Amino acid sequence: MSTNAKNEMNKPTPVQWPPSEDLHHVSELQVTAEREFPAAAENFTDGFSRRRWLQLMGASMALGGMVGCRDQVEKIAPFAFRPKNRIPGVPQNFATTLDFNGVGRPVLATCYDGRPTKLDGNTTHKNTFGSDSFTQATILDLYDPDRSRNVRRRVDGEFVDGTYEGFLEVLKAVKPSEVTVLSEMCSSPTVARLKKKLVAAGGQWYEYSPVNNDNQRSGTTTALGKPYRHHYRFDKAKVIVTIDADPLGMDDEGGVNTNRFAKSRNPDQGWMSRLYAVESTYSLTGGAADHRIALKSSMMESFLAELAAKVAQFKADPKKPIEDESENGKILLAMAQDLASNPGAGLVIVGNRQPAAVHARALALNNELGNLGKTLEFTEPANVEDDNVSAQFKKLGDALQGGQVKNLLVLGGNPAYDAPKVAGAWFVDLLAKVESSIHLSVTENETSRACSWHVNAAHQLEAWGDAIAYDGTWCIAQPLIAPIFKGRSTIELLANLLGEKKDALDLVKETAKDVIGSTDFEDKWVKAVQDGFVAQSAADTVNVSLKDFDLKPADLRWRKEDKSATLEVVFETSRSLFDGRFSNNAWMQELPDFFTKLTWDNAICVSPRTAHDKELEQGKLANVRLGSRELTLPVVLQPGQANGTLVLEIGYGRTAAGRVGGDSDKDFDSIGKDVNLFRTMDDWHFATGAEVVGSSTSYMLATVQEPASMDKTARKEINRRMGKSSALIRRDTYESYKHFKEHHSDDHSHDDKQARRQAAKSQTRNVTLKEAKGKDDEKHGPGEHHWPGEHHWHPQFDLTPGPPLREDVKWGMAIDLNKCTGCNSCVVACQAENNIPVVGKEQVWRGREMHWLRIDRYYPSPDNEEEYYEKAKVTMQPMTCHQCENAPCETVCPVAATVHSNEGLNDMVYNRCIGTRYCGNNCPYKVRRFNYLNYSNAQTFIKYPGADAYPVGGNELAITGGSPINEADKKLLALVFNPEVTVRSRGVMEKCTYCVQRIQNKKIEARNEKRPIGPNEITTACQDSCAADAISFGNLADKKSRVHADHENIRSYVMLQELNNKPRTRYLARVTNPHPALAGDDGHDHEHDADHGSAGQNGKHADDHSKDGDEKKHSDKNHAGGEGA
Amino acid sequence: MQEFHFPNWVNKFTIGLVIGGALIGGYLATCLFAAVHPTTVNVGYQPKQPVPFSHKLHVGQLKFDCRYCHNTVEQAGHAAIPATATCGNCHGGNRVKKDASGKAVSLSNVHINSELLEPVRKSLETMKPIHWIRVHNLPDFVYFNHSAHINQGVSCVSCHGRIDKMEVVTRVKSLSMKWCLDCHRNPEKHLRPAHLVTKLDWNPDADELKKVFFESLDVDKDGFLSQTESRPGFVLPKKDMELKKLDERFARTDRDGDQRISPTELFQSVGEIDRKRLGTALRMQHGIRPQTNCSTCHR
Repeated sequence: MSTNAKNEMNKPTPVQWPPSEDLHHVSELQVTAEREFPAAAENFTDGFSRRRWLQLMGASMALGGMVGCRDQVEKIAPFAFRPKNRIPGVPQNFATTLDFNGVGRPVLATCYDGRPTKLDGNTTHKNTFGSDSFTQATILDLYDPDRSRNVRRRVDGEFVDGTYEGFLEVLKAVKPSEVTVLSEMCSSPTVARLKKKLVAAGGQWYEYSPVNNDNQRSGTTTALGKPYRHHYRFDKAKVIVTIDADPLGMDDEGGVNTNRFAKSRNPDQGWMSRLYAVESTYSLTGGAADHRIALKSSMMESFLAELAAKVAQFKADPKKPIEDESENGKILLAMAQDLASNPGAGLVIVGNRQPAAVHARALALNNELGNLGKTLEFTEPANVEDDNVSAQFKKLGDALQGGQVKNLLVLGGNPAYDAPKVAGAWFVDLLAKVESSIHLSVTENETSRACSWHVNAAHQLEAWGDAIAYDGTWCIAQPLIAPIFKGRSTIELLANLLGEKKDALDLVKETAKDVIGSTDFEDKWVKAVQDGFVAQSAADTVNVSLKDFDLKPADLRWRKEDKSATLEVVFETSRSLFDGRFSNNAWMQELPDFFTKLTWDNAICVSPRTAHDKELEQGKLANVRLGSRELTLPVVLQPGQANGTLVLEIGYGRTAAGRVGGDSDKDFDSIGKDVNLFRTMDDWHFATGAEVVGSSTSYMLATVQEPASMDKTARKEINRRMGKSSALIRRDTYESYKHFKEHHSDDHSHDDKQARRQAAKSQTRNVTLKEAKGKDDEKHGPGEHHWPGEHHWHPQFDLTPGPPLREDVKWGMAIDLNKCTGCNSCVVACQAENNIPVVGKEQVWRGREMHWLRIDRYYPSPDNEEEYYEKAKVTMQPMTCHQCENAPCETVCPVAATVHSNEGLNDMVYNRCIGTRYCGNNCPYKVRRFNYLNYSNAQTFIKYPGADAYPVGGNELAITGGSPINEADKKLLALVFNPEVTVRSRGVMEKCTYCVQRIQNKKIEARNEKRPIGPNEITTACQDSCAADAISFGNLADKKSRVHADHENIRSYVMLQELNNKPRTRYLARVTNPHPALAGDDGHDHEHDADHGSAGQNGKHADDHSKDGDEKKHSDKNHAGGEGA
Repeated sequence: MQEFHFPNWVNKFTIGLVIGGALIGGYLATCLFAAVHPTTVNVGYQPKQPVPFSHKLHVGQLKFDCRYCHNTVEQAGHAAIPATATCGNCHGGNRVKKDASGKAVSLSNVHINSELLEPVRKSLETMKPIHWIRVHNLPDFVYFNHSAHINQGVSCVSCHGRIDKMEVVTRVKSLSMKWCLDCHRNPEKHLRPAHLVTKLDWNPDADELKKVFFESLDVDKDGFLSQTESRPGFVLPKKDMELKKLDERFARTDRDGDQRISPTELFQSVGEIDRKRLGTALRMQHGIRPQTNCSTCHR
């Protein structure tokens, strides 16, 4: 090929607008869409075919057939002295605390025989609800074989192993006055006490974390005088406006906000809050919002200024009409009207990404609306006197540059990776200027490698400590396991530095005396350790008053479309790796992003419109340039993102994370690209002036949902399914729902069909109800307790073999789509509970991911391309095995490995499964997962994707090469497994079991105690982790159970009910609350009557069923809820 | 070239070969089946333990209760092998306790110099465990819970045999799935009042059974069999039809309590009590419903 031709090939092909139907080949796509498993999924990689494997296995079977008959000799090693209250094999729960980025999180750890296996939120703390994916994943970090095992010191530029004793010898010679400390953000009062001692002795102390709330602190200081902590009362606010904020997401108080928000979204309680989100990229808050505006981050100030001005106008004239030429302008007016008419019950929230001035302006607006102290409360944080961390870091940079630092002690964190240039130099270069540098951290990371000493730290679960929760509660961390690698905690190291004689426990106790008083100290201390926190120690809310400060005059910049060629880059904290600290955590690497569903990578997220303008294509590499720096990353199209904005996730591209996240010293490739290069102290959150050039080079993106979602063909099908009464997703507006409920609740004598049909016509968006009113009412009559369209079950076609179902025990689940924000917490919780393996990037790309619980995100949209791309509305749907009573999977299993239990569970017997995958093919919900390789074998578990090749099928056929992981490492990793759940091996189908181990254990416990099981006593792992309380589980036959009430709820519906599967999981439809003036622009379910008619014809299947339903005249008995409907 | 004829005997030989082949094949298949059968493989397994602890001595002669050592059996899935400290209660040697008058009394002077007990003393000294060898080992994909069985009145002897007669603990049951299910489907013969589960030599005569029958059934203040919410009414499987008479009476003792029955009435209606009837009665009253769902044992 000539050079010329080559150049031609590499030239980006122009993209059509709207993007062509044929992003890939349609035929290929259709084939893919129709298959349950990807093509050639049965082949192993590395050219090792299945046939070849069978041949080899056949041979070895002949030789080794008789060997495995008797079980291996197993030894039992009982304690010499068994500790009090310890019963071997019975889990114990301990309260402890995680200090996550400077905020304490009370957690409850489940320990088996002294080994923590699971972390959950400690919900006895009043401001802890569920947990999140980070808390859940922390347990895997504890058993990371890449954790640092030794003190290491630099000798002639090379790191050699040392001992802590040797380190102490050196430390003795260091005077505290000559020490400068750089600590990661840390809320521990004991550390703060030791810090004071160090500072008093003449030492220096700085704090730094790349993810911080400096802007909010500065803005609050401007407006209120002190950097108070904000507490949003979502439970009290009727109107919420978020400006580039994600209070329901990764904010420090995300769990509390989510829970309070979920409570305000119950359409059955008489009122519902209304959430407006203005943001540059999609966030969980944006997903949950009733109205959403995609706007560049740099335009937020202008937007907020106009909002404030309009609020003032509406206050003066509440009747002012909501009319504006642009749609976004109309939303702004609606916002202003809502805020003005709800004084003291509105809330304007600004995200950390926005500069301080915007925060101050929002506080001024909140003040004007009378929200301060009502929906927006403040407390004084412990570090109220300290500078912002970015300011502290700048000062440290200057000191380092000026050569004023002799000994630098870095406590945790990873500034060499995530800090921007300060004083004109990168942190690594500044480190070279100090005499000695010490880094205390759990893993040997980029910073450790740049220091002269590395001290291996104890994991938070291995040491005594304390922390302050976001609400000010004083929390205690107790060690749950002896330090596996003899690491030292921050407190211990500081104590050694300061020559303290006491150990960490005594130091923590000493600090605790300030809070719990010295009278009856021991008793109170034991109580506090047992609880995990000191009760009633939360900070009091403070009364604030607004100070005078100057505001920039309002401009209308945000309304003008930006035609300039340059783009804005937004740096987003990774939804799975946070600031990079979870890089070596395979669960988090494989956790799909909330919206792009991308795993194992970061990408350039760009709106489809901008992609079109800049000639970028999904899955192709593009080059981003910002100033003199450039990076090449794959492109991912994100509907609903602000045009002209590129979103880059931080936290990727680590070079010293470990075997999972990448380690350049050991030749493990990095995962993703490090975008910290682009960040500067001033443009920390977003920067303007970027350029992007697409290429035609394809890149393997491992996404877990509809990789071709940008494709018209795929989307058309999704839309078709979402628009039917047999919808996957049901959405309705509050108004319409209220109307529906009025007419369908216990009113059996109802006969104004005509009126309702009329009403239905006027509510064209409400496809579900409209259709219901159009069809079902005539056929089935009113008085139906369930969402319409629920009448198609055929009891006579009961396909389930086996014993009849019990009437007194019926396990069931309900998931409230109105509460779910899609935060991924349940996905990781399920992974931790059920020993779900990680499969690695390539395997995800092949469609072999193993998550038993996934979260589907849909952009319900009309066929109107533009509307889809610009105003995509999202609905999240957690998806897991529905435990169908008429399970299609059971009838096709040739070996009866999946059968029905008489309590309604779809049991999966792993040891019986021979891996035909028929069940997976026959499952309409696609929730069955096949174990293609021996993923749970630790060898494959961590060999991603740094190694060149991974051994086929684990141990038996281990091909040499790749990462050396020894037996000890494997055993260490195996410690994370939950002993209650079988660890599955290759060739086995697996799926959600409603946490059957929890059901069985609770049953045994109740029987042993001779008592019945309480109505809500059994909880599933996903339910426990849900901050929004969106999931309920229990016995449907127990009328006192929450799940029974949820199944009876008028909003509940069954997915794909026309298949007559009778699932035990019901969803509660999502009800949005759009502003009346904007109801027509709500965007979702935006289907016209005509469209609907054609959709009805297409959905032949459903129509057939309606006919059947008509003939059979179903009675109430056919409902999933069983009796009592 | 002369034509070759098979000799006549070949005709018989061929038949013989086919039959013989089938026999040999069948024999080999039977051998293989028998060789890998759980009964062959598992029953009789008798590993040598680090300390030759004699159950025959301790349980059989000294009448230790099983739960003196396996003390978690009522609360936990595992019937824990005792901590070495339990052995040390008698064999510890240097462990001394003071009596009421303050005089030192050595509680643990039994065979303190025995060579066989060296591992026990070493373990107590070093705090390191003794590595016992598991005799009753289930596959990893099977979940078993001791407490669920013990509290419902399944005796130790049902699965472990007469441990009190064993010098060295031996596996006497196959612990195969079929064996589990046999009992789960018809548990009556193995049920006894929960307080008798560790009485390994319990072999009641008719009088004893009658006594136990009256003692073990819970009676409420009115003299009727008590029913609680945790013991819901029980629907009989068809297989138990031979006990129909008893069943019919019991089927009437439903949760609503309007057709209650007293043990005397019950006894009169069935006449003689045997193990199976006692088991049925216990099963009825306590709502014992042995699970046969897959997920009970495979999770």
